[in-house]
Amino acid sequence: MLRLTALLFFLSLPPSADAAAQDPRLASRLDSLTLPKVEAVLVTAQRRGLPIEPLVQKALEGASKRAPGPRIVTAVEAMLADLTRAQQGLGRSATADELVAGAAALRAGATLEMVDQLRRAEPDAGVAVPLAVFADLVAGGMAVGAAWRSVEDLAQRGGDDEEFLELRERLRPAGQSP
Amino acid sequence: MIRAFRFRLASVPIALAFAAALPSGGLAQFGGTMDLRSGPVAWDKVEGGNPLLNGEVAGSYRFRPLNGLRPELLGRFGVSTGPDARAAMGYDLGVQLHTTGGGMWLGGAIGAAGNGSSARALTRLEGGVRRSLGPARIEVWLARTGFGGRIVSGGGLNQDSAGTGDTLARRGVSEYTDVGSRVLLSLSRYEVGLALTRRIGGGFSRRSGWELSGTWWAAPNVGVVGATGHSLSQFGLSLPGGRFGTVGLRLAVGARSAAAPARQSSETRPVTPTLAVSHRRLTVHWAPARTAEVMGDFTDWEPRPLVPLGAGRWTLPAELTPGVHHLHVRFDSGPWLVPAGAAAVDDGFGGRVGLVVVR
Repeated sequence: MLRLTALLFFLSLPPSADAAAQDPRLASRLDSLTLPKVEAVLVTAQRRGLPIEPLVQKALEGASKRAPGPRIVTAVEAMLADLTRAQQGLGRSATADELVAGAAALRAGATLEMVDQLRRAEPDAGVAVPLAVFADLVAGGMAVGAAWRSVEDLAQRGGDDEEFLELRERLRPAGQSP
Repeated sequence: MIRAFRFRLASVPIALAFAAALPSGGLAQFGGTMDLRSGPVAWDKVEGGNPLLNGEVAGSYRFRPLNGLRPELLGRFGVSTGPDARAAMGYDLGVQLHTTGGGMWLGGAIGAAGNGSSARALTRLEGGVRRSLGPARIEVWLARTGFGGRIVSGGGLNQDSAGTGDTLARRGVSEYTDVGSRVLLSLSRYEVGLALTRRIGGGFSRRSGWELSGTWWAAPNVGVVGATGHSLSQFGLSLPGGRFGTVGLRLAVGARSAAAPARQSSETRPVTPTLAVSHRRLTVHWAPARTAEVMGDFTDWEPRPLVPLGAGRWTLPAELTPGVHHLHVRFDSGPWLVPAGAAAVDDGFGGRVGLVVVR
């Protein structure tokens, strides 16, 4: 009985960070030099309470694009930095989608203050869509300030996701090439 | 009634010359198709049993849209040998203007047709409209062809040895008008087409033609085509009308969809692939392609084929999960692209990646 209890106890323990970072998808797509470096980044992300799936996907994206190993490691590390910054602006309760969109918005030119403002303007709603729309508008050629004012204005008026997507369609004509 | 083998070559070395001579800007498109078909034909009102060999070379070059119109240059050259073993030929060069949003086109062409030195100049004015309804593409067109004078030559298919048919020679035709409609249904790798043509004006014993065709795309640029129908006289190439049944190959060349031969293809195409996400379903519009693939975080960045919906639309046969996704699409195994409709954000690898939000 004691042995069974001990076995159940060990099985109930959460997996270690190192074990969770050993993703079989990465093992099959990355070379032996790149894999441990990417896994080290994943361990760091877990310890910071960040989602690791976006980082895994970034590494897989690099592998599919035949990027050199060091470039993949750099891209994953940059993604970790972006997610960390996004978490600083959005808080630890932010969802993975919000962090990914926040990372894209920060990379597009948003500041931590902007992200924090948006979070306060939409306390009960997710900010993934507004942040993604902001990144989209900037990618479409709109100035950072103008894009942010449009998104922030709608957020302060309590716009929902549908209205943000409509805003995107309005400010960025359909069919326009990014 | 005779039975002969019909050999049709529809496309493109001339278009290759077009491609070499014309600018190759990123948004301009060169393309065409090559059809190789043979089968029995029962010619209308023509006696004799000689086999027929018919070849046609055609190509087109589409320029960038300008003020809502997209110009297209087209060229075609055809030769044939007929029951009396004399060669006939026809060629024309034309320009068409396609509206980029309205599904309409208008064009004209000049050329010549006939037998050797007896060839006469021809002119053609044409226009039409087309619409896409789900996987079906519908076209209605009108073409008026006029010749420099009555074509009454001394041989080839222009001459009706029986003296009872509706060939160009016997009737002394100087112009004619055709009204046609065409429906093309695309389902996965299969296409089914039905074309109806009505000839307007007097002097023709047969006024209606039709063709039912089926295509199976065995490879992205290679299709197997079967067709049957009853054609009208093709005076430009000195061909009488006749019942036919053919099988053959269709090869797609350049950016043009193989489903639309150079002369008849007039569907408006977007200048870049366009992506839309509705009800968690991903759809891409890019008509000139034969195959389409997507890869993104929802496929673990492995390429997944998109399923054709027809009319240049493709879809991923699975729902996306709500959230933010990164993706690329590509066509005909070409480079990975960020389609319009997705935000192009820095991918960290020196390029861009598409970002979409799924609700």
